[in-house]
Amino acid sequence: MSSIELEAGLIEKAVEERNAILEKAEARAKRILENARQEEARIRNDTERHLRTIVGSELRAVHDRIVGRANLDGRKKIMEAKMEILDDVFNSAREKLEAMAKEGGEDYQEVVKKLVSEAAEAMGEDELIVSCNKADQVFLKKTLSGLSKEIDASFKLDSKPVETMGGVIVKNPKATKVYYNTLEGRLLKVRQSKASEVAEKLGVI
Amino acid sequence: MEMKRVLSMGSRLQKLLVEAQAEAERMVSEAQKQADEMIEAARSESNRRRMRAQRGTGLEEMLAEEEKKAEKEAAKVSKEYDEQVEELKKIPAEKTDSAVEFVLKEVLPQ
Repeated sequence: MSSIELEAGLIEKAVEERNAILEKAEARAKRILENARQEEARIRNDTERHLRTIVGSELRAVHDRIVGRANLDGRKKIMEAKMEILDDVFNSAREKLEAMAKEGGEDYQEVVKKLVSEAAEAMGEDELIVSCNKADQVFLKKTLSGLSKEIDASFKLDSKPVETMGGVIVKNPKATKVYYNTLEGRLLKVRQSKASEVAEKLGVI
Repeated sequence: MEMKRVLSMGSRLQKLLVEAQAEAERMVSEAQKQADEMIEAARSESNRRRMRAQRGTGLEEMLAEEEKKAEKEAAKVSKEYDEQVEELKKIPAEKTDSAVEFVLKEVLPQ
């Protein structure tokens, strides 16, 4: 082996050894930093956990205040939407009743007679005064005498009309008993007593 | 003469390795120093926060973070309710008509 070859071999071996030393050191440094980062994260997590145990109730309060408010508002929106849907149904029913009363056809007249009869039967008085709106007075004038024969009571039509879309208000002569049987009164009663059934029919309960 | 040159070369190479070793030690030592500093900083910060929390101060950051998280959750909750409201409003006309008929039947004497 020539001296040049010997030198080249020595250089190559030394460079390899140098690289190996540096690579090993680099890997070790990397491992040290990686471990430190893990330890750092562990300390941070432990701290967070610890702090949460100290201020847990305050954090829960913040959470409950904000999310609770959103839930409350949301439930209110749902409730309002349901009410709006019910309003639409009852408004639509009201419009149909108004139209029916305004038209004053036979069906409506039959309804008013039934309303008078119903009130009279419920009151059980011999003499009754019937109040209604101006339009209904016209046909009730003719109908009441016939009704007196059907029901064992005498009716007198109040000459003073009342503000109502339709139906009647029946009272005894001393006005100690009054039976409100107007359409809007009955509609309101249905709204109060049957709202959940209407909601069920609409599928919004 | 040649032998002398080879020996000189050997000595230089030896020096190269010694320097590499020194560089390696420096790298490891530097990393260790950096790691120690990181851990020390994390511990100090942890202690500082724990002490402040025990005194009932320095919680603003956590509360603000919780508030941010809760607001995000609240927005999601609101969106879900809005979707429910939209769904509620999609009532078929037949159902509405049937409900109106039901109301009329209840209002009018039978």
